[in-house]
Parts: sequence; C-alpha cells; structure tokens
Amino acid sequence: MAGETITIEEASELAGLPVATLESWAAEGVVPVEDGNWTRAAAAQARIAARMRERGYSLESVKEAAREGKLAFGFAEDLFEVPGGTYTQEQAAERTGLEVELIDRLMTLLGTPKGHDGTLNEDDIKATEHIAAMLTSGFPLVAFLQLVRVYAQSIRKLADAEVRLFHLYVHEPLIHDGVPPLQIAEELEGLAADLLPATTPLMEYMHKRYLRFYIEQDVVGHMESDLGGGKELAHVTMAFCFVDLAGFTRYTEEEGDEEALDLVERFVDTVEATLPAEATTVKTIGDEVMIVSPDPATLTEWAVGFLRLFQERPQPRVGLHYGRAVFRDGDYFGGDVNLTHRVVSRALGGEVLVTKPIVEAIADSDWLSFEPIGEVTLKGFDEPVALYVTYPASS
Amino acid sequence: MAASAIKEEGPAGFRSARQMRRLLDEVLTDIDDDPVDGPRLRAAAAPLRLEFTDLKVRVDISAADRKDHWLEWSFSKRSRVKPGLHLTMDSTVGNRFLQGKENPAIALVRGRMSASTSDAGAALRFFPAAKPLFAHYRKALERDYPQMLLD
Repeated sequence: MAGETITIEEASELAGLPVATLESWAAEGVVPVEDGNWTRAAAAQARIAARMRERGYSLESVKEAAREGKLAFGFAEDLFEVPGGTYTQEQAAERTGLEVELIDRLMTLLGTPKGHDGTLNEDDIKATEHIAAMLTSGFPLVAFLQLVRVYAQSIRKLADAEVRLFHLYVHEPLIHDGVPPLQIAEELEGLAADLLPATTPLMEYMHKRYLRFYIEQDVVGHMESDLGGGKELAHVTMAFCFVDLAGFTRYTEEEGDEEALDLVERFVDTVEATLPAEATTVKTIGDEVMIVSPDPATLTEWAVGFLRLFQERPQPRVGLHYGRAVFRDGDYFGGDVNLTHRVVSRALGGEVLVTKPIVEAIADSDWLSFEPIGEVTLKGFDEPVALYVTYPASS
Repeated sequence: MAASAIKEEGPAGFRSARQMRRLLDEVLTDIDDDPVDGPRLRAAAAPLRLEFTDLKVRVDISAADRKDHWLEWSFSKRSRVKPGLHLTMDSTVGNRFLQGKENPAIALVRGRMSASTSDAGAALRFFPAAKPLFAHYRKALERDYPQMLLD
C-alpha cells in the first residue's frame, strides 16, 4: 500500500530510473522521501517527474511542482496497471477473427493509442475480443461503428470530468492546505482506490436503467411509425427544441464565470427535472440545451409552462420545430435541426417561438394559443419562415 | 394518534385538510431526519410554499434555524415566511405532483397549477432537488394510504 516502505532498488524498478537519479532527486526534494524511506507513491512521483523532464521542463520547475504536491497523481498509473504482453494487429486479427483494417479503424475510433510499432496491449486485445463477439452476434457493422464512436465520445467526457473534479475538489484543496506532498500522494491514492471500484458498477446500473427507458421509447416509436410515420432508415420525425438563457453573455460579464457556470448547471438540471417523460435532452452546449420529443404537443406545453417559472433575468427562451432528421452517433442532424437552432436565436427572453409545422401538428390544442409574427428570414435559409409566439390558451 | 392508526379506505384522494396536514407533517419530519435528503431539500427550499386550494391547506417550507434540524415548516396562514417559489394547486393535483406524477410545467399551462416566484433562482433550486420529497411522500403513502398511490 501507499504508506509501506520499499527499497530504493524496488523504487528504481517502479519508476524506470537509475538508483543514482532517485538518490539525487530525493536529496534535491524532487521526490518526497522522508529519512531515506522510499514508498510506491514516491516512486510514482519520480516517474512523473522523469516524464516532465522528458517534455522539457527544467529540474527547478519540476522541483517546484513537486514541493507544491502537483505531481502527486503518479499513484493513478498503478491503479490502471495493464498486464504485460504486446500484440501486433496481425496477432490481434488472428486471435479475434477480425480483419486488420477493421481492428485499426476500431482502435482509432476508440481513441486507443497504439504503441509506436502499432502494437496493442492485453487490455486492447480483450476489448477487441468483446467487439468481435458483438459483431458475430449479427449487429450490423455500420451501426456498430457509430456505437463505438458514441461510446468513445461519452466515456472520454466522463473520464475528463472525473479527473477534473477530483483535481478541483480533492487535489487542489490539499495543495491549498499545505499538506506535505507525500501525504497528498498517499491520500489521493487511498481515495482513488476506494472510488474506482465503485464507478464501474454505478455506470453499469445507469446504463441498464437508461437502456430500459429507451427500449420503452423505441416500442412507442415503432407503434407510432406503424400508424403512419416514415420508414426511411435512420430518419426520424421529431419535435426539436432548443432552449437557452437570453442575455447569458451579459450575465456572465456582470456576475463572473463561476456564478454563470453555477446558473447554467442549475438551469440544465431544471430542464431535465421538468421535461415530460417522452422528451430527451440530446446535448447541452454552454447555456443551450437541445431536446427532442416524438410528441410536439407536450414538448410545446412544457416549453410554455417552463418559462412561467422564470420571471426574472436571465430568462430562458425557446425555439421549436417539427420535422425530420438523421439520427446518427446519438445526435440528430439535418436542415430541420439547423432551422430550430435559428428559431431560438430570434426569440426574446421569456418567449416560445414555434414554426408552422408545430402549429399544424397541435392546432387543436386546448391549452395553447399561437400568435403569428409573420415570415422571418433566418440565416442560412433562402425561404422566409413563418413564426408564432406561443402562449397558454388561458392568458 | 399514530399515523398508522388513521388508515382509511376510500377514493384516491385526501378526505380532509387534517389528513393532508398530518401526512405532509409526517413526510417533512422524515426528510428532516434524513442526513442526505434533509440537506438537499434545505438547499432547495427557497423558501417554498405549497398551497392546496380545495382543502385550504398551505405549508411553508424553509431552511431551519434550529440546531439538529434541516427544515422548518409551518401550516399557519399567519406564517411570515416570504416564499421564493409559491405553487398553488388542488389536493388531487397535489397528490399527483408530490408523487412525481404531475409534470409541473405542463400543469401550469393546463391551468392545474399556478406558480409565482419572488426569487429568480427559486425554481432552479427546487425542481432539480424535488425527487427526495416525492420519494418520501410515496413512502408515507405506502405506509398509511396505499390507495392514494399512483402507478
């Protein structure tokens, strides 16, 4: 464990550095070693220091970073140790039955850094075997490649957030409190070792829960499609909605970045907490949230009701359109999505602007009324688009 | 009288203001005792006023000043709490809303609920943190009034 002492020879092997270098770095304070007692955490820090030197950082700047505890993340590498052994792509192909070109493409999509000589490690090979099993089951390659891209994008974001949040809320406070570097390294290692085993089951639980939800949605989608919807592969008919905070840039300037970030987080959480069950958040970009729903009526009602909860600045504004898009990589693409994005940019704070297809789809609504504001030219669209401000019918 | 002793049969709705107040008091006491949900709702109580028009029940929920408590609540119409978020509905909608089965934004448009805010961030604090309130409410119903539970 982190606190147990090891010999300097063992430290040398762990760090991949000569004993003499370790002795010199310990003496100069590059590596936190107390009374000549080496630990795994100190060896890990030496490995990080060596890498920083390779990247051209001066010994003085590495020493400074070490003194402040900034190199204490070396422990993490021990937690992700990969069993030895490297494989060429040809060997991987032989073991998995996949073609070399496909393995190469998959590794690129997954963002797997291959060795300099194009080799894969034991973990990469295991991942390739899982992929081979999924493809053997008959899942179409074209869909699978999209799925792999979504996995990679989502999990990259997840890992980035985990590291950033760990840094901001655990590592930085320890540095700020002046905790000695070795103690920082040991505390970080202990906490990470406790947290990591819990993350995989937690993600598996969430994955299953969302799968269950979307399978249900898919069943509903099939039934609606059978009742007259389009059949074109990968094209879907949806209500598209963008909602953002009007005047957010000014708010950020006035209140500062942290206050603005806090507002955005609470805003996005509130959107997600109040959406009707059949609607889905596709993505968030800054203060902007993209939502889709198979039901234009409830999504428009939600938008109008949602804005009534915000009577002070910065007020949200909403743009809605009903149309078709290509579903790809977990996102929606096409002219109708772009149009929706242009619609929201024409709305004022506290306003829900919708297009004619929305009005036509829900014209018999007992709860909404639509006031035409005329045809508006939207950037990137040749034809002017009729827009309507939407209100509760009772107002 | 213990809450479990007042189990009643009947339609899926509150039968009296007293019954509703007693149930809400039980739910809020549960949350106040909960080391996880107590602080969450405390941070979200803006303060919050829930008003149920047909039974003339009003509850003001705010952060507690008292030691060892997360929340304070009052059913008094003379309460001086100035709510950041005030939601008004009848008790049938209230029963659905408190079980997480009534979408508040859609209820506002359909006239089943009304909302007023005196604090710009009130809705942003309350709705993302409302799930524990729904969970404790459903737990209390399971215990005392299972006939009022909605699927």
